[in-house]
Amino acid sequence: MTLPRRSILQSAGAAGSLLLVGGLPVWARGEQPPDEPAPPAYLRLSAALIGADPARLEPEARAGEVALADTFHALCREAAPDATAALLAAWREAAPRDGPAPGGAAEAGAAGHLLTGGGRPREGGIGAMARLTMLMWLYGVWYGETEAARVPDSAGVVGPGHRTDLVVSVRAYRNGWIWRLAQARPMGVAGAPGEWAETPPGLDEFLDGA
Amino acid sequence: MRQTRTARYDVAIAGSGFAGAAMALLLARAGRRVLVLEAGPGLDALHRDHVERYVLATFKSPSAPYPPDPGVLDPSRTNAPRPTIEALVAAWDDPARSYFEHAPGSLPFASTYERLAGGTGNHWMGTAVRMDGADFRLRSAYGRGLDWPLGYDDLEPYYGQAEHLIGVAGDRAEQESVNGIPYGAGYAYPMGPVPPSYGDRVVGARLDGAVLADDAPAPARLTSTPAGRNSAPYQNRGPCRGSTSCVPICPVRAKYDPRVALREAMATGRVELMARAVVDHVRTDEGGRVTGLHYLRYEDDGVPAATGRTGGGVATADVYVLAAHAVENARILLNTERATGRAAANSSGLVGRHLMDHPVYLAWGLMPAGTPVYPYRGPLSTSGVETLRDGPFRRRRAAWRLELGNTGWNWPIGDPWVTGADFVYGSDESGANPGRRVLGGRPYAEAVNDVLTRQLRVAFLVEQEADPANRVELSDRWTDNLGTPRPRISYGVSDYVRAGFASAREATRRIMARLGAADHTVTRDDAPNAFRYGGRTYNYQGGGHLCGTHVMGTAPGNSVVNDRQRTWDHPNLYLAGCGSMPSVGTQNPTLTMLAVSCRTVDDILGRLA
Repeated sequence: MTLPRRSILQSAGAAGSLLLVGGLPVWARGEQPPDEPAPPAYLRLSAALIGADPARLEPEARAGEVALADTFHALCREAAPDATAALLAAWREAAPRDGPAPGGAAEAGAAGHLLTGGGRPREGGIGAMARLTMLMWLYGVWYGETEAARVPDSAGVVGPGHRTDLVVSVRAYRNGWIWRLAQARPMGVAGAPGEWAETPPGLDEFLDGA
Repeated sequence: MRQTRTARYDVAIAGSGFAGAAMALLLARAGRRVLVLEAGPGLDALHRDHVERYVLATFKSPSAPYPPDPGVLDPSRTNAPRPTIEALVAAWDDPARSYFEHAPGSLPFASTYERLAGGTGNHWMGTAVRMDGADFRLRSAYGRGLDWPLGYDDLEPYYGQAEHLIGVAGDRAEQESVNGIPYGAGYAYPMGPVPPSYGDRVVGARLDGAVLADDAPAPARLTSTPAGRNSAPYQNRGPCRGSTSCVPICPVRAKYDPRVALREAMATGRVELMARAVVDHVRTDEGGRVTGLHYLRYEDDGVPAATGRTGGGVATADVYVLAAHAVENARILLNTERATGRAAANSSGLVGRHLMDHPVYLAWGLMPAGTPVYPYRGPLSTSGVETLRDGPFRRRRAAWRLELGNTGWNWPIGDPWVTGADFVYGSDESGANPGRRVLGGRPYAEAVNDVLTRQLRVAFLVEQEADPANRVELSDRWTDNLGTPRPRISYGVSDYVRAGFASAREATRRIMARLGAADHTVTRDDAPNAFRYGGRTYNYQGGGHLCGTHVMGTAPGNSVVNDRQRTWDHPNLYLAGCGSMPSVGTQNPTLTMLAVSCRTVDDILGRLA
């Protein structure tokens, strides 16, 4: 039936299943430090994918909280270790040294290199892991099922245990960058009384904190 | 299996939702002892637990925060199942996966409800607009549907009582100016209106004065919407902070929900809540008096449930109220004859009939370049058009109320999830990426920003007239995990409603033209929620406003309850809730239902005195 939220959210029927990683639901895993932190390049490529300042991508962590980059990177490695390594290698190739300046053409070019092939979504492990990484930062959701459905080639990249869609953690959802792109806040997160009546801060302020 | 008999109460109420919780509170304040039987879980979960369930749900549906898990579709093995959007999307016509069985030829009934402490009021949006005078006289004024046995003047003081019980933020003068309905002398809403959104101002400046329907030539005027949402501290709850998740849950509890009244009622020490106690039938004596509410108990909220019935009993009191929801009230009454051989409240044969909703015509578009409206901020809606809700046109076509949304294309297509993914996958499910571009980096951010900040959504709540063919019956095949037959629904939309949709479509065309916006509304011919009218296809959405099923009237032959919601057949049985409404007008019905139920409390107290 034509009702809302049909496309990327078609996982509704499977929402009761839990993606167990290391014996814990994903959102519990978001509270546990992974075996190893994400390499700095993972944070840089993540920022490049959505056009954000790398210094602002990672939310400030309180005592005991795990960096989102560490959690996201660990999920990628567990779902597809070789493809995750290939993604990092492709980033280093496209963006040598510390990566391009945020917001510049070089950054957009590097992001485009990871995401596209001939104007279409890039197939193979690099494209799949770039999109899954980008979507985690945008929505706080691991979209393994959506990825396999949208790009059939990706079903061979992501292990069957990770072909599901699940919110990674409360923090991951609340940090979702898609809301900043709307110059707004995540649905379900409180702001200041009456702020919706005013003009919001500009997009650059959300992306760069200028 | 435990069989228990409760202590004697003054009043036993089935259901702790909007009507049940408020009635319990008002009765307790008057010194009466009340037992509330709730089919679902009680107050054991913290509010933040429900918020966390919402945040962690991939499908942020109206049911997402609430148990049992709406993502697992197995109503036959769920102890207190309910209809959900999840099931509508996946399997509306498969009773193995969807709570309702639909009769052959029925259209999908597209609205849902909750079964837990606080009821569906947990996920209500908060809109609290009064009905117009003519809404109570639809039959006599326009020859359509049914009349109420009472009028606006009878209900006016109770509207005020209900608005203060909820804590409605509104502007009396503005409401009187657009509706022409009088408020009581000296009356003021508990607090001023919640600030209209930035988008309201942009749209209102361009829309005000427009003629949206030739048969309703009054100029359109966008005004603030009274809502059960704090604009200032009230009832120890803070003001709205724009969380944009009123449905299904307000994280800061600025929006009233029936748990507020329920907790206050229980704090009096005169109200007891029995959770996971499903009333399945009514016990009556030879003389027609109700002698008890029979209930089934269970322990497992899981899906599928590991265990079923673990006990049961009969709740006894002097007066009984079924406030279990329009569909569940009808189900209890219809199941009474099946379980006991003795019909309940159904000498008219009208129990379950006249099921209504507000079928919604949903339209969406993009504001012109350079004219953002900045949605995804504030309450889900803060303004609407009230000036076109009544007129002689109601003889020919259904009226509508226009609600302007603050959440872009979230309702129509599930944004921002869909548009954001379109620019990742090079797809165009949103209609906002016709070039099927794949973008990354700053070009992605700017493209998505340009779409999301210009999204416009309007919803037309179309009045559905009472039709006896739209009804709730008992399924003769499908049960829940406690063995009680599930509801079977017969539902359709009349030509009267369809003509209302045609009017809404034309109004949309004029709105988009006035705003310079591009209409992105999509109609799907092959969808189950489609109908044809005037050579066009329309899709309807559920308004979540389930009404009818035990309508009130002037005589036992034309109704189930009288104007006080007391059943004609049983002197000590009341049916409370939207099921009693003979017409639904064009505004969200909760406020009116609560006002009627406040009036019922006065009747009960008079009888107990």
